[in-house]
Amino acid sequence: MDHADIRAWLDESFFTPAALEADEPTAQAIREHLASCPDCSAHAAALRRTALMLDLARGPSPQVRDRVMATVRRVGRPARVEATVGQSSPRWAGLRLAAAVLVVGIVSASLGVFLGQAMRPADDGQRLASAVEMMSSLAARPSTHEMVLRDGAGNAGGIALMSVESHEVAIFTSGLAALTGGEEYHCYLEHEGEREWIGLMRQAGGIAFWAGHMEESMTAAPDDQLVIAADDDAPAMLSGRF
Amino acid sequence: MVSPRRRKTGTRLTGVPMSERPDEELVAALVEGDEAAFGVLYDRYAEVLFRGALIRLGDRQLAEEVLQDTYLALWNRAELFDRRQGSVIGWLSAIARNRSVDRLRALGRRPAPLALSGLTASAELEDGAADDAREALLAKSTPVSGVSEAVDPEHELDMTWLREEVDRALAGIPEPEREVITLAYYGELSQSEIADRLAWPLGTVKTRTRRALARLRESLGDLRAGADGSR
Repeated sequence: MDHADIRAWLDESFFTPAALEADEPTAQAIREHLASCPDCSAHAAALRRTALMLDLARGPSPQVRDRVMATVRRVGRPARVEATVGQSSPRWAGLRLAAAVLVVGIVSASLGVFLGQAMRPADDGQRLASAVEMMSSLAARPSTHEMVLRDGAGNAGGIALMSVESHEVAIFTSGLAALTGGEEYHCYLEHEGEREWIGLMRQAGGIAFWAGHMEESMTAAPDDQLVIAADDDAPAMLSGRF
Repeated sequence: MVSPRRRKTGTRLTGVPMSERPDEELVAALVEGDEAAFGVLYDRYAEVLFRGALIRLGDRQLAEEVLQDTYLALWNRAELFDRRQGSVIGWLSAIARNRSVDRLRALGRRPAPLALSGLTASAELEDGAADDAREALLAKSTPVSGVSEAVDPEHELDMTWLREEVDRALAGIPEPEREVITLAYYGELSQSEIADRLAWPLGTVKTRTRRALARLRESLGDLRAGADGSR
């Protein structure tokens, strides 16, 4: 195909943009041509801009509303679960306080072992102190999200506090199985099975912790989970749902 | 939390129409299964959420899927909304953003064909195309009423000017060519179906489509150039 053929094909595919992504010889040839031809690539880009402007001006199809409303009518009122995000019920306030006390206790004990054995660089000790400080700060804010991290059997193994506004997160766990071969635990935000890396869990005595700011682009939505795992494909050792 | 005995209805004892109720009240109502409240929230924010998804994904169909997913998530998990964490539109935006990222991942993290990069928070949207349409949109935009608490800049785009310009561009196309575009784009008919509908040869439909697209590209290209020049 020459340039004119390519552009004619692009024009004819204007209303079916997925055609260019199709796994068939013509679409493949077009894609290869566009990759090496600035003029035809510019033509394709101009078409996409035109389509975007039309789509932005048009808005969503009315059929989307019809489909959504029909689904809502069909499923009816969902079974509501107790809100566990940002609800400062007395139960959660108590949990927050208990968790803070528990964590501080664990940390204090671990810190003694940790510092006494001098197994880690000094800056890890500073990280631990900073993590405890952030935990305390988060625990004092009523809007902080709290969750208990549990293993696959449902046993509590840690606690996480997160602020949506500041993106601060503090995670403390205990009892994680030791890893071999240089592996280390990481914390992730998991959304519908996809994990986004938050950070490397630090070790201090019997606890693993992480505290800091998540990337600005990371946003926890309902059903998202905080996961502690050896890598992004490994089974979750601990997890908690927002 | 609202009373579990609140009745499933589109009106309230206070007499304020549902369409004028604040977002938080509507969410509280739909927690109780109020479909009318849900419909009002859809009408209030569907367009702005759709535009955000479209800008991220560059694909109309995917953007509509994200919009649908977002509202079904609202219906299913409305009880998780906490006004202290932000606005309803901010919450919906976060859900839509996550759903858009899901779609991008499913596509192999492929950049959106027309990622308007400055409006996107997703790292997946690499702005290789250096698209300047975003600048044109921003240059011509004013905040849309009712979404002043939106967390994303794209929510503040007022598309009124763009609709007017697109209408003007369409009006500038000769009638036979405009008819082809209208049936293809708004009627979602294939070229063969248009040929059947209008009793035109398929080649004529193709030729008129190409001419109409060329005119649209030119008109909307001028619009972008004008927006650039106005800054």
